[in-house]
Amino acid sequence: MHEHEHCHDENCSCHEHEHHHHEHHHDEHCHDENCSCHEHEHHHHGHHHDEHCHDENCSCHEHEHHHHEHHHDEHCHDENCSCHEHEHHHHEAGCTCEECATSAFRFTRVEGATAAAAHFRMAGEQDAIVSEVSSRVQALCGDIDALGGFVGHVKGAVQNEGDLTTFSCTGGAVTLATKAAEGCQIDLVAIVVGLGDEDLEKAIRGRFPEIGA
Amino acid sequence: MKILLLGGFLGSGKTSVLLPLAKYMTEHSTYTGTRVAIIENEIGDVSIDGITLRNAGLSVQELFSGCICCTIGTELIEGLKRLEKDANPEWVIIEATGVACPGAVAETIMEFIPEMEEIRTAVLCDAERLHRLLRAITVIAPQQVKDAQVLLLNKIDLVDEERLVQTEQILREFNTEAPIYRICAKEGIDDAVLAAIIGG
Repeated sequence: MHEHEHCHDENCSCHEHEHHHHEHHHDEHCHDENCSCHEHEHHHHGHHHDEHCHDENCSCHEHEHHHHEHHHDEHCHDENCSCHEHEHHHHEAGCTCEECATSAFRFTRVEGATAAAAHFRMAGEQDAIVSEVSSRVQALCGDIDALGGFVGHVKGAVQNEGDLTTFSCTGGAVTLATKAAEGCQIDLVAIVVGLGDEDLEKAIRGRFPEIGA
Repeated sequence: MKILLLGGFLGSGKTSVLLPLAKYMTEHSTYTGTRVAIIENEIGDVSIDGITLRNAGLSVQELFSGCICCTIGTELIEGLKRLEKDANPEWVIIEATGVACPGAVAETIMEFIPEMEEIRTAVLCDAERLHRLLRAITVIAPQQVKDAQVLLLNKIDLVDEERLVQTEQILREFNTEAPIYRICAKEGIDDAVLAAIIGG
């Protein structure tokens, strides 16, 4: 039995209780014989929320101490999830939640119009990408017309990924390293009348093969 | 609190009008509180227009995944009541989706907030494709024109004078009373037109 498997209460006299290594987070959780968290089983002390699905049966301390600054990738939003982030989640441009990461297209239908939204990336400089996207969007409108659809509106945004500069200083000069932006994130919304989801998706993918599966 | 409903079919230029309109309202108001609040109703759940408006420094509340004249009317009403309580702006501009009927939206608002000071409706029409639109979208497009108190015939730079006259005649068939203003939103809108939109 390992020392961190017992309850470090006020009577505990083990050296770990005295020295209280915080890598084990003993004061957050009592690893007694009823403990069922994976820390107890595997003794990995660098675990993060996204290694563990906090469903309704979860009894680990991380589930009990449910901090609401947690992000989507720290918490398994399954169909039983009732946290407010799961309920009120708007997929803003650039959203990186599980649903956006796994679903290239989202469809919405209102009053006979279908809106297809896609998020994807293109490599290159922003000006060149904007020019390319513009040209393809025009071609896409032609494709939609040819399929018998009526183009309501095709719109989007091209967001430069931005240069990244890291800095480092140990008291003297500051060292800088810059990596130039290599591409752009693109949101595309096509609102069309008279065309089904499948045909619309096929038309969009035909012009934008960069959109993921 | 007064409401301006900005309607018009998809791609007619609503967001392009909203920007100078919001600026005009802000600059010509003597109200000491929040002068303009904007509610965006988008089809789908990605707010491209919201990005444009925020980039221009405006504060925007979005309503997604439905249309305010039908599926998410209660969300709109709750949003308006909350806005009135929290900020009580002088004007709320509601940019409807391109498939909303402004008349239905106004009716919903009046039903649940009868004390609303004023509701005005301005509708954008695309001068280049209105003819095609009225043939293809036979219910919503004509209804939008009928619902307007002010009609803005946009993208006039893309058509000739003869076509503009024909388009105005068609608009008159559906709406005999609303004044029609020719505009090219991307090149700027005359203050007189902006004033007319808000009833000034």
